[in-house]
Amino acid sequence: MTPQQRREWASALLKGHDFPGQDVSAIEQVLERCERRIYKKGAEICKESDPGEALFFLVDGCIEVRKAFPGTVPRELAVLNAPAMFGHMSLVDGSKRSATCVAGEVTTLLVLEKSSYEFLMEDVTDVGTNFRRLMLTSLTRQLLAGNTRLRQALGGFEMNVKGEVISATEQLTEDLLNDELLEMAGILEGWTVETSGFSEIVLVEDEDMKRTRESEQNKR
Amino acid sequence: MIDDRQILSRLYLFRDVSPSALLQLCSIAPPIQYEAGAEVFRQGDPADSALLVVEGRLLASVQGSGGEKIVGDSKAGEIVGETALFARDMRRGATVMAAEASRCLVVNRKLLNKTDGNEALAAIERHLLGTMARRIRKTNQTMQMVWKEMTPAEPTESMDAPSLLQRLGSLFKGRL
Repeated sequence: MTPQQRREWASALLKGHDFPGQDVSAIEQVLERCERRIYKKGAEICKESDPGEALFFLVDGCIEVRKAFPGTVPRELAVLNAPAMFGHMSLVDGSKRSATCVAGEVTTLLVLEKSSYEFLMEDVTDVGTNFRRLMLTSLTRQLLAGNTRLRQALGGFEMNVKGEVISATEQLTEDLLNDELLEMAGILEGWTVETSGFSEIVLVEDEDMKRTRESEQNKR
Repeated sequence: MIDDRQILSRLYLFRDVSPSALLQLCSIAPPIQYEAGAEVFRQGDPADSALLVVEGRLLASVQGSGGEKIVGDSKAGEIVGETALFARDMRRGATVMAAEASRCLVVNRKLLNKTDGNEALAAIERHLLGTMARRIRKTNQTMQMVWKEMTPAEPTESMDAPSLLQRLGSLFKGRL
């Protein structure tokens, strides 16, 4: 990864996030700690129920997110398109992977290992501070989006500040479908919320990436 | 007399934080005292800060169609109103009152901007991440429970959508 690429990705990552003390060079230093990995189409990135050992910045390609709800075969929960961030929840709370992620095409990820995550959590310099606040902004969005969606679906209920139902206020309507519930689960797990702010990213290709992309295009 | 720094140092989240960092935090943002019964936040008001309960107890209530309901109870070491810190144009979702004489640290953007390199603030940020993650997981576990209770034991290729009433009946059994 070139310094120019890091700069572009760091700027794009911060663009969708608003927090005090924001500093592009600090996020560049976070990305500097990442390992760049290129996955073939169909390659498994992480598996549901496995322990979380890394978080991922998706910078090229796409990820198919699959989840096995109890009593069902695995279903597609979402498709993440670059740029995006995923896999952070397992590191924040030590929980297992909530879904399986597979490369939907040739895909480039920047991988931040758990040891680097733990270092950044303790780091009191601008680098650690920016990383923690980036995570906090993402989780805030996840929490707010999940609660809003849940409130819409459970329109007949009053909920407390922690999102727990406290009373029924009106007669229910028969309009909650499986897909809506799936969507809510996706939001809460961070799969279907714009958590990265990468939307206006301009990807700068290096030679490796260019060759891989051209080879894929030729195959098609 | 016990000073603010000593009170903060009793909190588990500050267990590894040096006295000098706590002292710096107290000098920038001295904890605020609320008398028993004092209103801390009002439902619907603009929200731009979170409160770390340092001493005492806060009660949150919401005004609904059936009147006022207590919906939250926060003790020393817990954070209230944290979503206001990292999102814009937020409103308070509940009214918060001091259930007893309480002392709280106000965490706002001004404080976040002023405490470069302060390890106590880093501890607050880690605590916030944990608090948010627990809330997200808790809600999600409830959703998973709906699936567990409403879907057949054996995997199937397709599912008939259980009705809303069935789902919610299962989800909130005995709780309403």
